Amino acid sequence: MAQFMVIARGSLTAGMSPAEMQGVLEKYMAWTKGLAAQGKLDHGNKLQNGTGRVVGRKGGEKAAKPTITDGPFSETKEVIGGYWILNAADYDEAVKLVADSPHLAYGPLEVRAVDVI
Amino acid sequence: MSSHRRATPEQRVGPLVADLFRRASGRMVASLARRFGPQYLGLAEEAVQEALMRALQTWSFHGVPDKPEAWLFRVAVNRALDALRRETNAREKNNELLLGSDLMAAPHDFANDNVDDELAMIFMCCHPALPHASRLALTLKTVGGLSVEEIAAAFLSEPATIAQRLVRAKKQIRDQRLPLDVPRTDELAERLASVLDVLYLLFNEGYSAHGGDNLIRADLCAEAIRLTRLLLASPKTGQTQVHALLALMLFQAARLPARVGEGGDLLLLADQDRARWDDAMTAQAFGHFEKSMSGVKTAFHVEAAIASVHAAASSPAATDWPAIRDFYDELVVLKPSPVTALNRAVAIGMAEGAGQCLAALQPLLTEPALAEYHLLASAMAAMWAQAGNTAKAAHFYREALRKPCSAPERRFLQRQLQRVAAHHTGRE
Repeated sequence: MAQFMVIARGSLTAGMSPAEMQGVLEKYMAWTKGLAAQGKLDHGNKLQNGTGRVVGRKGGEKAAKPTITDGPFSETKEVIGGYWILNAADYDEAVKLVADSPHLAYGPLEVRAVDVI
Repeated sequence: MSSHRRATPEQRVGPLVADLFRRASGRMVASLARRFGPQYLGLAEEAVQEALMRALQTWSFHGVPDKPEAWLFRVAVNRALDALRRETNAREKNNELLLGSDLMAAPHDFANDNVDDELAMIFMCCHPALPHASRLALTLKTVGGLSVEEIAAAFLSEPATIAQRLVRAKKQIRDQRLPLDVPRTDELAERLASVLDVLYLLFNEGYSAHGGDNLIRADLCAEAIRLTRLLLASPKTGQTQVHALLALMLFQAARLPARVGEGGDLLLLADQDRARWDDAMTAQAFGHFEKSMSGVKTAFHVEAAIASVHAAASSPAATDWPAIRDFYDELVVLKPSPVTALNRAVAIGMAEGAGQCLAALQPLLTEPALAEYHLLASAMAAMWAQAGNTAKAAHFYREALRKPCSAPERRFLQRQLQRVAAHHTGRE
Protein backbone atom coordinates (compact mmCIF):
# COMPACT_ATOMS: atom_id res chain seq x y z
CA MET A 1 0.00 0.00 0.00
CA ALA A 2 1.29 3.41 -0.95
CA GLN A 3 1.60 6.36 1.36
CA PHE A 4 0.29 9.83 0.75
CA MET A 5 1.20 13.08 2.40
CA VAL A 6 -1.77 15.31 2.99
CA ILE A 7 -0.70 18.86 3.67
CA ALA A 8 -3.28 21.10 5.30
CA ARG A 9 -3.25 24.86 5.16
CA GLY A 10 -5.91 27.23 6.22
CA SER A 11 -7.03 29.77 8.70
CA LEU A 12 -9.61 29.85 11.44
CA THR A 13 -11.81 32.73 12.35
CA ALA A 14 -10.31 34.84 15.08
CA GLY A 15 -12.10 35.27 18.37
CA MET A 16 -13.70 31.85 18.66
CA SER A 17 -15.04 30.98 22.08
CA PRO A 18 -13.52 28.05 24.01
CA ALA A 19 -16.63 25.97 23.27
CA GLU A 20 -16.40 26.74 19.55
CA MET A 21 -12.70 25.85 19.49
CA GLN A 22 -13.42 22.54 21.16
CA GLY A 23 -16.18 21.95 18.63
CA VAL A 24 -13.73 22.38 15.74
CA LEU A 25 -11.14 20.17 17.42
CA GLU A 26 -13.71 17.43 17.98
CA LYS A 27 -14.55 17.41 14.28
CA TYR A 28 -10.89 16.86 13.39
CA MET A 29 -10.61 14.17 16.08
CA ALA A 30 -13.66 12.30 14.85
CA TRP A 31 -12.31 12.40 11.31
CA THR A 32 -8.79 11.17 12.15
CA LYS A 33 -10.27 8.53 14.44
CA GLY A 34 -12.30 7.22 11.53
CA LEU A 35 -9.20 7.04 9.33
CA ALA A 36 -7.23 5.33 12.09
CA ALA A 37 -9.98 2.75 12.62
CA GLN A 38 -9.72 1.78 8.94
CA GLY A 39 -5.94 1.55 9.21
CA LYS A 40 -5.59 4.43 6.79
CA LEU A 41 -3.79 6.87 9.10
CA ASP A 42 -0.07 6.50 9.68
CA HIS A 43 0.44 9.66 11.71
CA GLY A 44 -0.01 13.40 11.70
CA ASN A 45 1.81 16.45 12.97
CA LYS A 46 1.30 20.14 13.25
CA LEU A 47 3.73 22.36 11.40
CA GLN A 48 5.14 25.39 13.16
CA ASN A 49 3.29 28.64 12.69
CA GLY A 50 4.90 31.25 10.50
CA THR A 51 8.36 29.72 10.34
CA GLY A 52 8.46 28.55 6.73
CA ARG A 53 11.48 29.24 4.53
CA VAL A 54 11.80 29.02 0.79
CA VAL A 55 15.32 28.17 -0.29
CA GLY A 56 16.25 28.91 -3.89
CA ARG A 57 19.15 29.98 -6.01
CA LYS A 58 18.65 32.92 -8.27
CA GLY A 59 20.74 32.68 -11.40
CA GLY A 60 20.84 28.90 -11.38
CA GLU A 61 24.10 27.03 -10.87
CA LYS A 62 26.26 30.09 -11.48
CA ALA A 63 25.07 31.96 -8.41
CA ALA A 64 27.33 31.69 -5.42
CA LYS A 65 24.81 31.45 -2.60
CA PRO A 66 21.26 30.19 -2.29
CA THR A 67 18.58 32.74 -1.44
CA ILE A 68 16.42 32.15 1.57
CA THR A 69 13.10 33.88 1.96
CA ASP A 70 10.33 33.60 4.48
CA GLY A 71 7.22 31.94 3.36
CA PRO A 72 5.81 30.61 1.23
CA PHE A 73 2.58 31.24 3.00
CA SER A 74 1.26 34.38 4.57
CA GLU A 75 0.54 32.81 7.88
CA THR A 76 -1.41 34.37 10.67
CA LYS A 77 -1.77 33.41 14.29
CA GLU A 78 -5.01 31.60 13.58
CA VAL A 79 -3.54 29.40 10.89
CA ILE A 80 -4.05 25.68 10.78
CA GLY A 81 -1.00 24.04 9.27
CA GLY A 82 -0.05 20.41 9.46
CA TYR A 83 0.14 17.15 7.63
CA TRP A 84 -1.04 13.58 7.82
CA ILE A 85 0.56 10.51 6.27
CA LEU A 86 -2.20 8.26 4.95
CA ASN A 87 -2.11 4.69 3.66
CA ALA A 88 -4.03 4.35 0.44
CA ALA A 89 -3.89 2.22 -2.72
CA ASP A 90 -3.79 5.11 -5.15
CA TYR A 91 -4.72 8.77 -5.64
CA ASP A 92 -8.36 7.86 -6.14
CA GLU A 93 -8.54 6.31 -2.72
CA ALA A 94 -6.42 9.00 -1.07
CA VAL A 95 -8.63 11.75 -2.45
CA LYS A 96 -11.73 9.86 -1.37
CA LEU A 97 -10.32 9.59 2.14
CA VAL A 98 -9.83 13.33 2.51
CA ALA A 99 -12.99 14.39 0.69
CA ASP A 100 -14.95 14.50 3.94
CA SER A 101 -12.25 16.16 6.02
CA PRO A 102 -13.53 18.92 8.30
CA HIS A 103 -10.42 20.83 7.34
CA LEU A 104 -11.96 21.75 4.00
CA ALA A 105 -14.06 24.33 5.83
CA TYR A 106 -10.86 26.21 6.69
CA GLY A 107 -8.59 25.69 3.72
CA PRO A 108 -7.38 23.34 0.99
CA LEU A 109 -5.65 19.99 1.35
CA GLU A 110 -2.73 19.08 -0.87
CA VAL A 111 -2.41 15.36 -1.51
CA ARG A 112 0.98 14.04 -2.67
CA ALA A 113 1.98 10.44 -3.16
CA VAL A 114 5.16 9.50 -1.34
CA ASP A 115 7.41 8.13 -4.06
CA VAL A 116 9.23 5.06 -2.83
CA ILE A 117 11.80 3.59 -5.17
CA MET B 1 12.59 9.87 8.87
CA SER B 2 12.30 8.75 12.47
CA SER B 3 13.29 12.04 14.10
CA HIS B 4 9.75 13.41 14.23
CA ARG B 5 7.51 12.25 17.04
CA ARG B 6 5.29 9.55 15.67
CA ALA B 7 1.94 9.46 17.30
CA THR B 8 -0.10 6.32 17.14
CA PRO B 9 -3.43 7.93 16.47
CA GLU B 10 -5.54 5.09 17.80
CA GLN B 11 -4.01 5.59 21.21
CA ARG B 12 -3.67 9.32 21.21
CA VAL B 13 -6.99 10.37 19.82
CA GLY B 14 -9.03 9.65 22.89
CA PRO B 15 -12.31 11.24 23.78
CA LEU B 16 -12.17 14.78 25.02
CA VAL B 17 -13.97 15.66 28.23
CA ALA B 18 -17.13 17.56 27.39
CA ASP B 19 -16.70 21.28 27.97
CA LEU B 20 -12.98 20.80 28.67
CA PHE B 21 -12.00 24.01 26.86
CA ARG B 22 -14.67 26.10 28.54
CA ARG B 23 -14.00 24.76 32.01
CA ALA B 24 -10.23 24.79 31.65
CA SER B 25 -10.47 28.35 30.37
CA GLY B 26 -12.16 29.54 33.57
CA ARG B 27 -9.79 27.61 35.80
CA MET B 28 -6.67 28.78 33.98
CA VAL B 29 -7.69 32.44 33.89
CA ALA B 30 -8.43 32.26 37.62
CA SER B 31 -5.15 30.57 38.35
CA LEU B 32 -3.02 32.94 36.27
CA ALA B 33 -4.76 36.12 37.44
CA ARG B 34 -4.47 34.93 41.05
CA ARG B 35 -0.72 34.50 40.70
CA PHE B 36 0.01 37.62 38.64
CA GLY B 37 -2.58 39.87 40.25
CA PRO B 38 -6.03 41.03 39.17
CA GLN B 39 -4.57 43.96 37.19
CA TYR B 40 -3.29 41.31 34.74
CA LEU B 41 -6.71 39.74 34.19
CA GLY B 42 -6.72 40.78 30.53
CA LEU B 43 -3.23 39.37 29.99
CA ALA B 44 -4.28 36.09 31.63
CA GLU B 45 -7.34 35.85 29.38
CA GLU B 46 -5.25 36.40 26.26
CA ALA B 47 -2.68 33.82 27.32
CA VAL B 48 -5.43 31.28 27.92
CA GLN B 49 -7.06 32.04 24.58
CA GLU B 50 -3.70 31.50 22.86
CA ALA B 51 -3.15 28.23 24.69
CA LEU B 52 -6.55 26.94 23.58
CA MET B 53 -5.85 28.02 20.01
CA ARG B 54 -2.52 26.24 20.10
CA ALA B 55 -4.20 23.10 21.40
CA LEU B 56 -6.71 23.27 18.58
CA GLN B 57 -3.90 23.62 16.03
CA THR B 58 -1.73 20.85 17.47
CA TRP B 59 -4.24 18.29 18.66
CA SER B 60 -6.10 18.41 15.37
CA PHE B 61 -3.12 16.70 13.73
CA HIS B 62 -1.33 14.97 16.53
CA GLY B 63 -4.12 13.81 18.81
CA VAL B 64 -4.85 14.77 22.39
CA PRO B 65 -1.98 14.47 24.88
CA ASP B 66 -2.23 12.30 27.98
CA LYS B 67 -2.98 15.16 30.37
CA PRO B 68 -4.75 17.74 28.26
CA GLU B 69 -5.38 20.18 31.08
CA ALA B 70 -1.77 20.16 32.28
CA TRP B 71 -0.66 20.66 28.66
CA LEU B 72 -2.98 23.65 28.30
CA PHE B 73 -1.85 25.13 31.58
CA ARG B 74 1.84 24.79 30.71
CA VAL B 75 1.31 26.57 27.40
CA ALA B 76 -0.85 29.28 28.99
CA VAL B 77 1.75 29.94 31.69
CA ASN B 78 4.50 30.26 29.10
CA ARG B 79 2.41 32.60 26.97
CA ALA B 80 1.56 34.71 30.00
CA LEU B 81 5.21 34.93 31.06
CA ASP B 82 6.24 35.91 27.52
CA ALA B 83 3.60 38.64 27.44
CA LEU B 84 4.58 39.84 30.90
CA ARG B 85 8.23 40.03 29.88
CA ARG B 86 7.35 42.08 26.83
CA GLU B 87 5.15 44.36 28.89
CA THR B 88 7.49 44.92 31.83
CA ASN B 89 10.82 44.80 30.04
CA ALA B 90 10.98 48.49 29.30
CA ARG B 91 10.01 49.49 32.79
CA GLU B 92 11.70 47.11 35.16
CA LYS B 93 14.28 44.53 34.30
CA ASN B 94 13.90 42.47 37.43
CA ASN B 95 10.20 42.06 37.80
CA GLU B 96 9.46 40.02 40.88
CA LEU B 97 6.73 38.17 39.04
CA LEU B 98 9.30 36.80 36.63
CA LEU B 99 12.01 36.04 39.13
CA GLY B 100 11.95 33.03 41.38
CA SER B 101 8.48 32.31 40.17
CA ASP B 102 7.09 28.84 40.74
CA LEU B 103 4.88 29.31 37.74
CA MET B 104 7.12 27.42 35.39
CA ALA B 105 6.11 24.22 37.07
CA ALA B 106 2.57 23.29 36.24
CA PRO B 107 0.58 22.09 39.21
CA HIS B 108 0.56 18.32 39.36
CA ASP B 109 -3.11 17.98 40.18
CA PHE B 110 -4.39 20.85 38.16
CA ALA B 111 -8.13 20.32 38.57
CA ASN B 112 -8.06 20.08 42.34
CA ASP B 113 -5.47 22.77 42.98
CA ASN B 114 -7.62 25.35 41.37
CA VAL B 115 -10.87 25.24 43.32
CA ASP B 116 -9.59 27.99 45.56
CA ASP B 117 -8.52 30.11 42.58
CA GLU B 118 -11.93 29.69 40.97
CA LEU B 119 -13.71 30.63 44.20
CA ALA B 120 -11.54 33.73 44.53
CA MET B 121 -12.40 34.63 40.95
CA ILE B 122 -16.14 34.23 41.57
CA PHE B 123 -15.90 36.55 44.56
CA MET B 124 -14.04 39.17 42.56
CA CYS B 125 -16.46 38.98 39.61
CA CYS B 126 -19.41 39.37 42.00
CA HIS B 127 -17.85 42.16 44.06
CA PRO B 128 -20.58 44.51 45.37
CA ALA B 129 -18.60 47.51 44.05
CA LEU B 130 -19.31 46.39 40.46
CA PRO B 131 -22.64 47.17 38.76
CA HIS B 132 -25.09 44.26 38.78
CA ALA B 133 -25.07 43.69 35.04
CA SER B 134 -21.27 43.65 35.03
CA ARG B 135 -21.15 40.99 37.74
CA LEU B 136 -23.19 38.61 35.62
CA ALA B 137 -21.24 39.27 32.43
CA LEU B 138 -17.87 39.07 34.15
CA THR B 139 -18.74 35.82 35.92
CA LEU B 140 -19.86 34.21 32.68
CA LYS B 141 -16.82 35.46 30.79
CA THR B 142 -14.10 34.85 33.32
CA VAL B 143 -15.35 31.89 35.36
CA GLY B 144 -17.72 30.32 32.85
CA GLY B 145 -15.44 30.62 29.81
CA LEU B 146 -18.20 32.03 27.59
CA SER B 147 -17.31 34.38 24.77
CA VAL B 148 -18.65 37.92 24.48
CA GLU B 149 -20.92 36.73 21.64
CA GLU B 150 -22.30 33.87 23.73
CA ILE B 151 -23.01 36.16 26.68
CA ALA B 152 -24.68 38.69 24.37
CA ALA B 153 -26.86 35.92 22.95
CA ALA B 154 -27.81 34.74 26.44
CA PHE B 155 -28.93 38.20 27.51
CA LEU B 156 -30.30 39.32 24.14
CA SER B 157 -27.82 42.10 24.11
CA GLU B 158 -25.34 43.44 21.57
CA PRO B 159 -21.80 41.99 21.73
CA ALA B 160 -20.43 45.55 21.73
CA THR B 161 -22.50 46.37 24.82
CA ILE B 162 -21.23 43.32 26.68
CA ALA B 163 -17.65 43.98 25.57
CA GLN B 164 -17.84 47.54 26.83
CA ARG B 165 -19.33 46.39 30.12
CA LEU B 166 -16.44 43.95 30.56
CA VAL B 167 -13.80 46.55 29.74
CA ARG B 168 -15.29 48.93 32.28
CA ALA B 169 -15.49 46.23 34.92
CA LYS B 170 -11.85 45.30 34.41
CA LYS B 171 -10.83 48.93 34.61
CA GLN B 172 -12.79 49.26 37.84
CA ILE B 173 -11.05 46.16 39.21
CA ARG B 174 -7.67 47.77 38.46
CA ASP B 175 -8.55 51.27 39.62
CA GLN B 176 -10.23 50.25 42.85
CA ARG B 177 -7.84 47.34 43.40
CA LEU B 178 -10.68 44.91 43.99
CA PRO B 179 -9.20 41.85 45.69
CA LEU B 180 -8.90 38.48 43.98
CA ASP B 181 -9.38 36.42 47.12
CA VAL B 182 -11.96 34.52 49.08
CA PRO B 183 -13.06 37.25 51.55
CA ARG B 184 -12.03 37.35 55.19
CA THR B 185 -14.54 36.10 57.73
CA ASP B 186 -15.72 39.59 58.73
CA GLU B 187 -16.85 40.49 55.22
CA LEU B 188 -17.72 37.00 54.04
CA ALA B 189 -21.45 37.26 54.75
CA GLU B 190 -22.01 40.35 52.58
CA ARG B 191 -19.73 39.14 49.78
CA LEU B 192 -21.26 35.65 49.77
CA ALA B 193 -24.75 37.16 49.56
CA SER B 194 -23.67 39.07 46.45
CA VAL B 195 -22.27 35.90 44.87
CA LEU B 196 -25.47 33.98 45.61
CA ASP B 197 -27.57 36.76 44.08
CA VAL B 198 -25.56 36.56 40.88
CA LEU B 199 -25.85 32.75 40.73
CA TYR B 200 -29.59 32.99 41.40
CA LEU B 201 -30.01 35.51 38.57
CA LEU B 202 -27.86 33.38 36.30
CA PHE B 203 -30.03 30.34 36.96
CA ASN B 204 -33.26 32.28 36.46
CA GLU B 205 -31.95 33.78 33.25
CA GLY B 206 -31.32 30.26 32.03
CA TYR B 207 -34.57 28.86 33.44
CA SER B 208 -36.80 31.33 31.68
CA ALA B 209 -34.92 33.11 28.98
CA HIS B 210 -36.67 36.44 28.59
CA GLY B 211 -36.93 36.36 24.86
CA GLY B 212 -35.68 34.74 21.72
CA ASP B 213 -36.45 31.26 20.52
CA ASN B 214 -35.13 29.23 23.40
CA LEU B 215 -37.33 29.03 26.41
CA ILE B 216 -34.57 27.54 28.51
CA ARG B 217 -30.87 28.08 28.28
CA ALA B 218 -29.80 24.87 29.91
CA ASP B 219 -26.13 25.84 29.75
CA LEU B 220 -26.73 28.86 31.98
CA CYS B 221 -28.64 26.69 34.46
CA ALA B 222 -25.87 24.11 34.43
CA GLU B 223 -23.19 26.74 34.98
CA ALA B 224 -25.12 28.27 37.90
CA ILE B 225 -25.48 24.82 39.47
CA ARG B 226 -21.80 24.04 38.94
CA LEU B 227 -20.67 27.28 40.60
CA THR B 228 -23.06 26.81 43.51
CA ARG B 229 -21.65 23.31 44.03
CA LEU B 230 -18.18 24.84 43.94
CA LEU B 231 -19.11 27.10 46.86
CA LEU B 232 -20.31 24.05 48.79
CA ALA B 233 -16.99 22.32 48.17
CA SER B 234 -15.21 24.81 50.42
CA PRO B 235 -15.90 24.73 54.19
CA LYS B 236 -15.71 28.53 54.35
CA THR B 237 -18.45 29.09 51.80
CA GLY B 238 -20.39 25.86 52.23
CA GLN B 239 -23.09 27.51 54.31
CA THR B 240 -26.72 26.59 54.84
CA GLN B 241 -28.12 29.29 52.52
CA VAL B 242 -25.89 27.89 49.76
CA HIS B 243 -27.46 24.46 50.31
CA ALA B 244 -30.87 26.16 50.12
CA LEU B 245 -29.99 27.86 46.83
CA LEU B 246 -28.66 24.64 45.33
CA ALA B 247 -31.80 22.79 46.48
CA LEU B 248 -33.93 25.44 44.79
CA MET B 249 -31.94 25.18 41.55
CA LEU B 250 -32.06 21.38 41.54
CA PHE B 251 -35.81 21.23 42.23
CA GLN B 252 -36.37 23.55 39.28
CA ALA B 253 -33.80 21.92 37.01
CA ALA B 254 -35.36 18.51 37.66
CA ARG B 255 -38.51 19.81 35.95
CA LEU B 256 -36.67 21.17 32.90
CA PRO B 257 -37.17 18.05 30.74
CA ALA B 258 -40.94 18.29 31.24
CA ARG B 259 -41.19 22.04 30.94
CA VAL B 260 -41.02 22.23 27.19
CA GLY B 261 -43.42 20.20 25.07
CA GLU B 262 -43.05 19.07 21.50
CA GLY B 263 -42.17 21.95 19.21
CA GLY B 264 -40.51 23.84 22.05
CA ASP B 265 -43.72 25.07 23.65
CA LEU B 266 -44.00 26.06 27.28
CA LEU B 267 -45.91 23.64 29.47
CA LEU B 268 -47.40 24.86 32.72
CA LEU B 269 -46.75 22.95 35.90
CA ALA B 270 -50.27 21.54 35.73
CA ASP B 271 -49.78 20.25 32.17
CA GLN B 272 -46.35 18.70 32.64
CA ASP B 273 -45.80 14.97 32.40
CA ARG B 274 -44.41 14.41 35.88
CA ALA B 275 -42.87 11.12 34.80
CA ARG B 276 -40.38 13.25 32.89
CA TRP B 277 -39.17 15.01 36.01
CA ASP B 278 -35.65 13.98 36.91
CA ASP B 279 -36.16 11.93 40.08
CA ALA B 280 -32.46 11.58 40.85
CA MET B 281 -32.04 15.34 40.72
CA THR B 282 -35.11 15.86 42.89
CA ALA B 283 -33.62 13.45 45.43
CA GLN B 284 -30.40 15.48 45.43
CA ALA B 285 -32.45 18.63 45.90
CA PHE B 286 -34.20 17.18 48.94
CA GLY B 287 -30.77 16.23 50.34
CA HIS B 288 -29.49 19.79 50.08
CA PHE B 289 -32.79 21.17 51.34
CA GLU B 290 -32.37 19.06 54.46
CA LYS B 291 -28.82 20.33 54.96
CA SER B 292 -30.05 23.90 54.67
CA MET B 293 -32.44 23.53 57.61
CA SER B 294 -29.98 24.16 60.43
CA GLY B 295 -29.20 27.74 59.46
CA VAL B 296 -30.89 31.12 59.48
CA LYS B 297 -33.91 31.14 57.19
CA THR B 298 -33.31 33.12 54.00
CA ALA B 299 -35.43 33.79 50.92
CA PHE B 300 -33.59 30.91 49.24
CA HIS B 301 -34.87 28.58 51.98
CA VAL B 302 -38.47 29.65 51.43
CA GLU B 303 -38.21 29.44 47.65
CA ALA B 304 -36.68 25.98 47.97
CA ALA B 305 -39.55 25.04 50.31
CA ILE B 306 -42.10 26.16 47.70
CA ALA B 307 -40.30 24.18 45.00
CA SER B 308 -40.21 21.15 47.32
CA VAL B 309 -44.00 21.21 47.71
CA HIS B 310 -44.37 21.00 43.93
CA ALA B 311 -41.75 18.25 43.76
CA ALA B 312 -43.57 16.24 46.42
CA ALA B 313 -46.93 16.37 44.60
CA SER B 314 -47.52 13.32 42.43
CA SER B 315 -50.17 15.19 40.44
CA PRO B 316 -51.29 18.81 40.10
CA ALA B 317 -54.41 18.05 42.12
CA ALA B 318 -52.29 16.66 44.95
CA THR B 319 -50.40 19.96 45.34
CA ASP B 320 -50.62 21.42 48.82
CA TRP B 321 -51.52 24.98 47.73
CA PRO B 322 -52.32 26.29 51.21
CA ALA B 323 -48.75 25.37 52.24
CA ILE B 324 -47.39 27.18 49.20
CA ARG B 325 -49.54 30.23 50.00
CA ASP B 326 -48.12 30.25 53.54
CA PHE B 327 -44.57 30.09 52.22
CA TYR B 328 -45.31 33.03 49.93
CA ASP B 329 -46.60 34.96 52.94
CA GLU B 330 -43.12 34.43 54.43
CA LEU B 331 -41.38 35.25 51.18
CA VAL B 332 -43.03 38.66 50.71
CA VAL B 333 -41.55 39.59 54.08
CA LEU B 334 -38.05 38.18 53.44
CA LYS B 335 -37.86 39.38 49.85
CA PRO B 336 -40.46 42.03 49.19
CA SER B 337 -40.84 42.54 45.47
CA PRO B 338 -43.72 43.03 43.02
CA VAL B 339 -42.87 39.69 41.36
CA THR B 340 -43.07 37.88 44.70
CA ALA B 341 -46.41 39.58 45.35
CA LEU B 342 -47.62 38.39 41.95
CA ASN B 343 -46.62 34.80 42.68
CA ARG B 344 -48.26 35.01 46.09
CA ALA B 345 -51.49 36.15 44.44
CA VAL B 346 -51.39 33.14 42.13
CA ALA B 347 -50.84 30.83 45.12
CA ILE B 348 -53.81 32.45 46.87
CA GLY B 349 -55.84 31.80 43.75
CA MET B 350 -54.91 28.13 43.75
CA ALA B 351 -55.61 27.76 47.47
CA GLU B 352 -58.71 29.91 47.78
CA GLY B 353 -60.13 30.54 44.32
CA ALA B 354 -60.08 33.02 41.47
CA GLY B 355 -61.94 35.78 43.34
CA GLN B 356 -59.29 36.05 46.09
CA CYS B 357 -56.54 35.91 43.48
CA LEU B 358 -58.01 38.75 41.43
CA ALA B 359 -58.36 40.81 44.61
CA ALA B 360 -54.66 40.24 45.35
CA LEU B 361 -53.64 40.98 41.76
CA GLN B 362 -55.67 44.20 41.44
CA PRO B 363 -53.26 46.50 43.34
CA LEU B 364 -50.33 45.17 41.28
CA LEU B 365 -51.82 46.53 38.04
CA THR B 366 -50.58 50.01 38.90
CA GLU B 367 -47.14 48.74 39.96
CA PRO B 368 -44.60 50.41 37.60
CA ALA B 369 -42.10 47.54 37.97
CA LEU B 370 -44.66 45.15 36.49
CA ALA B 371 -45.83 47.42 33.68
CA GLU B 372 -43.87 45.47 31.06
CA TYR B 373 -44.19 42.08 32.78
CA HIS B 374 -46.32 39.76 30.64
CA LEU B 375 -46.91 37.30 33.49
CA LEU B 376 -49.11 39.76 35.42
CA ALA B 377 -51.50 40.24 32.52
CA SER B 378 -51.37 36.53 31.80
CA ALA B 379 -52.24 35.70 35.44
CA MET B 380 -55.16 38.16 35.34
CA ALA B 381 -56.32 36.51 32.12
CA ALA B 382 -56.12 33.00 33.57
CA MET B 383 -58.05 34.01 36.68
CA TRP B 384 -60.78 35.78 34.71
CA ALA B 385 -61.05 32.68 32.53
CA GLN B 386 -61.37 30.53 35.64
CA ALA B 387 -64.02 32.91 36.98
CA GLY B 388 -65.92 32.46 33.70
CA ASN B 389 -65.44 35.95 32.30
CA THR B 390 -64.00 35.14 28.87
CA ALA B 391 -64.21 38.76 27.67
CA LYS B 392 -61.93 39.96 30.48
CA ALA B 393 -59.70 36.94 29.97
CA ALA B 394 -59.27 37.70 26.26
CA HIS B 395 -58.59 41.35 27.07
CA PHE B 396 -55.73 40.44 29.42
CA TYR B 397 -54.26 37.79 27.12
CA ARG B 398 -54.10 40.45 24.41
CA GLU B 399 -52.43 42.79 26.85
CA ALA B 400 -49.90 40.11 27.81
CA LEU B 401 -49.08 39.61 24.13
CA ARG B 402 -48.13 43.29 23.86
CA LYS B 403 -45.30 42.83 26.42
CA PRO B 404 -41.88 41.41 25.68
CA CYS B 405 -41.57 37.64 26.09
CA SER B 406 -39.92 34.65 24.44
CA ALA B 407 -41.28 33.07 21.26
CA PRO B 408 -42.56 29.88 23.01
CA GLU B 409 -44.23 32.01 25.70
CA ARG B 410 -45.84 34.07 22.96
CA ARG B 411 -47.20 30.92 21.29
CA PHE B 412 -48.54 29.77 24.65
CA LEU B 413 -50.37 33.07 25.19
CA GLN B 414 -51.79 32.92 21.68
CA ARG B 415 -53.15 29.42 22.28
CA GLN B 416 -54.77 30.55 25.51
CA LEU B 417 -56.27 33.56 23.78
CA GLN B 418 -57.76 31.36 21.05
CA ARG B 419 -59.21 29.06 23.69
CA VAL B 420 -61.04 31.81 25.55
CA ALA B 421 -61.96 33.59 22.33
CA ALA B 422 -63.71 30.39 21.22
CA HIS B 423 -66.09 30.88 24.14
CA HIS B 424 -66.49 34.48 23.37
CA THR B 425 -67.29 36.22 20.11
CA GLY B 426 -64.32 38.53 20.40
CA ARG B 427 -66.18 41.63 21.57
CA GLU B 428 -64.97 43.20 24.77
